[in-house]
Amino acid sequence: MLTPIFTPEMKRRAVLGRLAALAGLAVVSYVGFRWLRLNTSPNFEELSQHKKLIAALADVIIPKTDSPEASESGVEEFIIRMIIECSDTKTQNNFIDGLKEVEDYCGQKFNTSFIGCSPDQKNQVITVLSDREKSKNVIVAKAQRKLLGNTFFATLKEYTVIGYFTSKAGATESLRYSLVPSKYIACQPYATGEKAWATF
Amino acid sequence: MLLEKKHGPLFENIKDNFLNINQKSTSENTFDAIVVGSGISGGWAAKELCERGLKTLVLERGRNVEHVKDYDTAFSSPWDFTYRLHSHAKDASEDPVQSTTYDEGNKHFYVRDKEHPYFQESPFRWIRGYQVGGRSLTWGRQCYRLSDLDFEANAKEGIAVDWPIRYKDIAPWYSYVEKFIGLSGRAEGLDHLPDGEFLPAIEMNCLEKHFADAIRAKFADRLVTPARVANLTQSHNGRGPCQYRNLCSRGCPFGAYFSSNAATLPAAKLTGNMTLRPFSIVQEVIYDKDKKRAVGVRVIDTETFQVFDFFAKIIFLNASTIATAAILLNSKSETFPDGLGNTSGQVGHNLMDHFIGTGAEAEFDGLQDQYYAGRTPGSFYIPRFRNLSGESNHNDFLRGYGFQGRAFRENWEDQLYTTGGFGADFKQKLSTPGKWKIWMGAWAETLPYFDNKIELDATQKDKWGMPLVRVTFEYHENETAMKKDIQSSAEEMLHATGFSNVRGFSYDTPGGSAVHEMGTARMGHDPDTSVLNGFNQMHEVKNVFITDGSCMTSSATQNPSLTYMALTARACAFAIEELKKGNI
Repeated sequence: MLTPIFTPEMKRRAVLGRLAALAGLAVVSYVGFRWLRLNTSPNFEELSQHKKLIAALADVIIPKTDSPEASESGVEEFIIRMIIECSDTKTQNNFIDGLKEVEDYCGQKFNTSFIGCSPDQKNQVITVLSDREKSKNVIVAKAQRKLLGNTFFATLKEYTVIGYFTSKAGATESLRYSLVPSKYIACQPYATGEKAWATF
Repeated sequence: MLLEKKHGPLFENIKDNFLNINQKSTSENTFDAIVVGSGISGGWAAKELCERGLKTLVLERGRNVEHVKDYDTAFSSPWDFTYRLHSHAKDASEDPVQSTTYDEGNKHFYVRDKEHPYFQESPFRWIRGYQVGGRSLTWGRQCYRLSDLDFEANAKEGIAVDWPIRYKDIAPWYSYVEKFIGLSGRAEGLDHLPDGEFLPAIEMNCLEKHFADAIRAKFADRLVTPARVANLTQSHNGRGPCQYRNLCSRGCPFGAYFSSNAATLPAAKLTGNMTLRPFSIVQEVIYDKDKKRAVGVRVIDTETFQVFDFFAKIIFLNASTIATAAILLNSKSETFPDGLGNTSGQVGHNLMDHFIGTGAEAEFDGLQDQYYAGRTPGSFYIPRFRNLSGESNHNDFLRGYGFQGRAFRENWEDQLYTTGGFGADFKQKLSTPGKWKIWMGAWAETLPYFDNKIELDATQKDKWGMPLVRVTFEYHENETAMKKDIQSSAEEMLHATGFSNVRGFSYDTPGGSAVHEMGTARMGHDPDTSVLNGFNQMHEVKNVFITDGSCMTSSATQNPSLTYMALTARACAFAIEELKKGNI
């Protein structure tokens, strides 16, 4: 009677427990690895080397329509400046790694660089990146951002949008900009599709 | 350049007015009056004293900022800025305090935190603008009169000490000041928020009007009115009108909001009686125990580190609440070992700030065919409705709060983080106005607590030899209880007036966040418990007057600058009468 008796339920729990421990370890070691990688000092030369790639990526987020595309406003310069001067180390490394991931992905899948991709292929690449953001639970996303920095796509999108809509091209052609409005019309009729004011 | 021609650089001859004073001659260093500080109250003291014929030395610790000429960013567009006016981690690490308030467009009107250290015993944001004009360049411009509800509150409730004045004492001075500064607003006939001398109000937009109508219909005790702001809706005293750029805090090339630089200092200069000396830190007020009065101030030049003494018959301290208290505490003498006029032990104590950061925001589903054009520097205002009398009395707390807020349609930046995807549709959505939203937050009264205070560090000094300031500031039960009511009343009003996705918020913003520091040299009847009398005159040193925020006996809910200005004009008139009578 000294031999412990395992019921099937107990066995199942034990196995699950071991699996969970293993999985946990894997998650911890992955996060730990990522965390170490993300805190190494970033190689900013990669950014200037990939200036054209950054411009091409930004142009998929803000393409040419009846107003200019992102790169016509020189948005890549702004993105690089914001990453180097105004972002935390993890976000910087995520961005640099993201550029490489994009190039690897395009090489494997389309056998070309991102710039060499067709418009449709470019859209496919950005869709993959964009979909990763979509599936995230808000709380998980927040915790992840705190631990691992902003994702490549979140940073790309944020700085592209800010850089574009605050540029002369973006503010005056995609939006309406007035340096000196001279009067305030508190209530003005609005027809759907009319451009928004660039500044508030 | 066109603008400069039109308005003229008002300080063009200012260099002639600077004195290259040295210690050679006392007469060269002697004036009728000295004003310490050139911000919103110092500017008024300068104007009033100069216009009444006194040769006045105005001392300012920072650099000169000339109206129009030194508004470097006034005509800059977003793309002219390196970081496109986007707040970022670099500023937050370099200026952890100031960056909570400044942006890239007005950063040059705020101090660098590292150059001007102070100790925070508890978190306290000491927001500062060391330049001619001080924080009158970057202020919020909202102006509300206090009433007897405020002046009587301490006495009725047994809080701190009684104000030595009542509304009737200050009412004519409110009018006097309002007529000069130019104040837009709408008369509402409220006893507890008296009407002033108003220029036409800035119109509210259509959602704000909807909100105002619905509040009137649903809440008998509340109203929504255009904020009373020192922005000129029409030309006034040679300034303005407002061009609706909403870039006030960069300095207005049209002079369309009130600042010392645009209004009071040019008026003072026009008299020929003003000498303005920037780069001048006042270290202490010099007290003569035989004459039983202050005889002057000791100044260190921030650039040359030379020390000068300046002498005058009367001295106005307008260095700002914390700095004025620091000067008093640093002015030690045989007669006043604990600081000038501080036998009461009240100097530096009773520090107050309005508490902000609690309110609600919401969305509105209609009015998609309405928008606006131009950028308003105003907002809407909901005057205090708690603890007025009878039914409005609230058991959980004393005093009350007012709401400031605005309604707007989401722009590209508001939509950026809530709009998924990318490409042409995404771009189109961000290029057009989004949903209507409303935001409102309270500016709420903080009671005076003796333990909320500033002190001087016993050993550590700044590079000009001034002891570093230590600030201790905490909110208490009354503020905590009021906070809960603020959030629920804000949510209640938005729910009741047709808004959706109502989201209340209540942040623990540290003291100082409203930039309404007050109370460190309070007015009162009794020299044993207060520093100043009913004319802002030091009980113990009759030729020293203090009319910046440090004089406030209670904080009230109203934005306080208008009251400082009115008290300053009143104190100047009194001081000159006393001089004439030979009393000081």
